[in-house]
Amino acid sequence: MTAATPAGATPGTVDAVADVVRGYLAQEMKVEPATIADDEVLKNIPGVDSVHLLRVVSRLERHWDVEFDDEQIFASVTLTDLVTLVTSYVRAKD
Amino acid sequence: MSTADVVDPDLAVAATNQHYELPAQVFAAYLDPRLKYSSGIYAGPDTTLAEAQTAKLHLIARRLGLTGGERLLDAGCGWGSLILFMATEYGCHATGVTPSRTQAAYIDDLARTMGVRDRIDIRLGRFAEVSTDGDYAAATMVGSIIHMPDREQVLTRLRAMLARGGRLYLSESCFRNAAVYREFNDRPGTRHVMENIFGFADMVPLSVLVAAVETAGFSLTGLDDLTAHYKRTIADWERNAETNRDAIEQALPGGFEPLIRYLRTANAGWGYTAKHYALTAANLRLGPEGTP
Repeated sequence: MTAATPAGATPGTVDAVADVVRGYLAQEMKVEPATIADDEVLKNIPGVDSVHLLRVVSRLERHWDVEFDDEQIFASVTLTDLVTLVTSYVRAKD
Repeated sequence: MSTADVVDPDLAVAATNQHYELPAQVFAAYLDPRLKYSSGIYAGPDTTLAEAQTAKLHLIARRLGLTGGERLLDAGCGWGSLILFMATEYGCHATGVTPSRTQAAYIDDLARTMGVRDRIDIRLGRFAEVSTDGDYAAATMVGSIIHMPDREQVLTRLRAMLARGGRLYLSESCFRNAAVYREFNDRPGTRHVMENIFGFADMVPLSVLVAAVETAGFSLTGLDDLTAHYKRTIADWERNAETNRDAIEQALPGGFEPLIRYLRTANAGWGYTAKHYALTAANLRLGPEGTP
């Protein structure tokens, strides 16, 4: 599932979190959300560098008012990894 | 081996000046009207950059315990925002040290315009070498020690210039801890900012600065974490730079892109790889009396 993610997915679900994560990534890299696949290796997105990724992580933390574990942030290789990390924090918060 | 063993301070000055010798118009295009090139203090969501910088200067005055008329020394005074503010708002007699001829000339002009030239003393050169009198009541290093490889000697010299009971305010951007410093210091992004933008900068963790303050014989009296405020400050600089892109390009053709890249890089790492701290210290064996 990439672009097919339905708008307005139930908050807190993996789909809803994935929408937000993909949206922020796409905004940061100035690409269409649909171009970022679930198994996309974040560091391989054209033009991306660690500054872009930190800006996205920072926006995600602000979005849900959480702070992720440092090691888990840097261990997130793919979009799915990042979505899984964020989802675990969002659910723990609810 | 400390950095002082491997970096010639003269080379550090020459390199650092690459950035600060840029025309003031470049900085005027994205900084606040005082050209204060360091963090502001944001009181609320609607605080402007100019208000935040004024609040920061008042914070520094409070941390230094200024009541009016004191002699103050600013080691690494930039475009003079701090010394001019303390001279006009607190009636201080303020000495500013800068190795940049551009900055010294700028401050000289502005001090005349503001009518405080008699209370402003500008010393051109490296802080470790310029002659200054002693007996200062207060000393400041706002984002300048990062450019000085010989930080322990600098702080020792600074303490010797302070009267007994004199206060030091030192703020700096730091790698978040020793492990992050080791991991990130040699990376290309870091080297770009440190060498291509600033010429010489060594963003040591706070623990290294604390050790240097101790070595110099100061009593450490306080610590403020200003990281959140610096993030907002640089976000404001970035917005200003984008708004005034044409003015930047006019003053420094091709200068806009590297500037934006620097500001974004600097602002992405706060809290993850970098922190911004302000510490206060006293030249007083027992530290301050009275209830903390």
